[in-house]
Amino acid sequence: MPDLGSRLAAARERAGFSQEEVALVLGQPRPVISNWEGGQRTPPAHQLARLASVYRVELQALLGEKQQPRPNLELLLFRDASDHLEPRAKYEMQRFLRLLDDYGDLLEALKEPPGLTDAPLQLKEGFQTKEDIRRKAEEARDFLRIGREGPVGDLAALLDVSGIALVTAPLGKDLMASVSGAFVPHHRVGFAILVNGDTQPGRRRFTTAHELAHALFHGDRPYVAFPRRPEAFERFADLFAAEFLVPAAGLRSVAERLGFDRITDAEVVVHLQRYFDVSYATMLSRLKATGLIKEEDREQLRNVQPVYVAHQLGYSVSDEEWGQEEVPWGFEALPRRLVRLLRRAIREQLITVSSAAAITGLAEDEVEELVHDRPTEPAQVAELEVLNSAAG
Amino acid sequence: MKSSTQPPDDILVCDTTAVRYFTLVDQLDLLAGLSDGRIRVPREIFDPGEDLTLPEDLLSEIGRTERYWARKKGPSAGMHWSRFRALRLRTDIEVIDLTLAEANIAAEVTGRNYLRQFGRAGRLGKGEASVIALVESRKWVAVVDDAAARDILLGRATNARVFTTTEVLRRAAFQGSVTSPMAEQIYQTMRQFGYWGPEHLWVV
Repeated sequence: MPDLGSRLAAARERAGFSQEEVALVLGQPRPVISNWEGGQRTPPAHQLARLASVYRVELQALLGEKQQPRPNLELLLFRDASDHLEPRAKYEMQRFLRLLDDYGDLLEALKEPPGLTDAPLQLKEGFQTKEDIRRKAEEARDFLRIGREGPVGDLAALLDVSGIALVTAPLGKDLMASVSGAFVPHHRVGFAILVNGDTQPGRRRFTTAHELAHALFHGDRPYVAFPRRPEAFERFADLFAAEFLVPAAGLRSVAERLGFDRITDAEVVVHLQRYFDVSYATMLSRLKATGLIKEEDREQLRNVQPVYVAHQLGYSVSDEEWGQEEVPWGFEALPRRLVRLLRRAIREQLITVSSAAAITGLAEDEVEELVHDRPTEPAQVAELEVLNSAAG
Repeated sequence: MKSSTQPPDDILVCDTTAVRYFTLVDQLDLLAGLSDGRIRVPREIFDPGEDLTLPEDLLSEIGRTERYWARKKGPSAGMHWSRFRALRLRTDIEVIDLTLAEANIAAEVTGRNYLRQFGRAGRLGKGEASVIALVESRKWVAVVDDAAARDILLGRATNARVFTTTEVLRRAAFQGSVTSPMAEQIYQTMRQFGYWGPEHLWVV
């Protein structure tokens, strides 16, 4: 049997990480990883557990026990993303796959079926004209039963009821070194979408719709999205996302109702942006595509701060939009169905709080909060402190 | 000085839940008082030297808790965060590193399907697995609240001794470290923070 160092090296290579990348993820100098793999030093137990997480293997496998091989989805994802992934983003994608593995185990244990496993809609080669895209977006809206022209509404809820798992993860703000999202057909969970939570809300929504295109029309293999991908399937997903979120007919009809046939005012763009719940940039692009703004106006409309305009118009602007707050990670970043299953399983004592924390990677405090509404300010804290001081 | 109610050789090793709740109610000294003045925890549960910028699921369990309270909103969140942050300054917390043999035990009980034989779904957390490994290997006494972890521990080592947070609090009262009404008060505060247990400490 190979020694520990050789097993570590093999697991790392299978997971698609270099020693340098592992060192960066674990916050260790690179020679430490090299020494562990070369057998000069034995990694401490807690670092072995971390390595198992990074390599998406069972700790037992690293320690020498034979394990069933699992589908090597990460290599497909990493290969597709080529040089677009910094180590932390790579780790987060690995973590996404690990979450899906555990989610699959949970579904099996609870005898629950997987989500959507086959693309429900068809796409022939060469579907790229505006008319093709419009029809495909309509098909998708009909399938999801959300009407053909209005705003999509709660996209995460739509995915949830359609059996598509949606996960948000911090993949990095710099899209030159990361990706905006990915689609994975998981063999036990069904279709799953990963969205880069380090991007702005409008961008996340666009990415979600982009990955939805892969789920509804492709579904055959993992896809990774990053800016300016030249492949036809990525171009289709981009065009689909734009038309799906802001249907040209719906946009024209709203503009007409408001009495505009040419838009030159940023306030109107912001009204429309908020109505369709997309980014300002997406709305500008859709208005240009539908001929509602002219090229000469576009430049001027780009030079505004849409957040300030929205605030002045009385829209509620989140802290995140102001750029003042990090994305709240926690259960909001996980598939809604998984969260419901965990809550139910904990209440029925089929799973413990700490197991749920182990699956989700969250603090036990957060899991407890999910299960029973804990007051943020226990009334007795103050009383206890009085007792404490009285006791000296 | 130890009371006569406590066996002289008790070396307690604590899981996350006990450390968390005694920290939240600012009564960690009670936990230390039950052993030899030390609070022993595996590094998977608390690692005072860890880099808190690591991905959340690579942090120790208390590290994750610290980060949770750091990002949580609310008037008391800052106070709770500071209590967890202050754990790094305590000199009575002894962080235990597992040997490779103990890591093998932890690896076995955290296996994907291990909990199914106990009629449960999911997988055991790394912290509990480390406590189980230490109790099995060093014959220490576990402070574990998680029902699955207790089942596993007692299934693997029938002579193992396991306390829950509730029992620790009762023993502290028996020892005289805290009065009975005060213990009840502490317990009720823990319950308000979300601790799962009977309605009262003394009356079932």
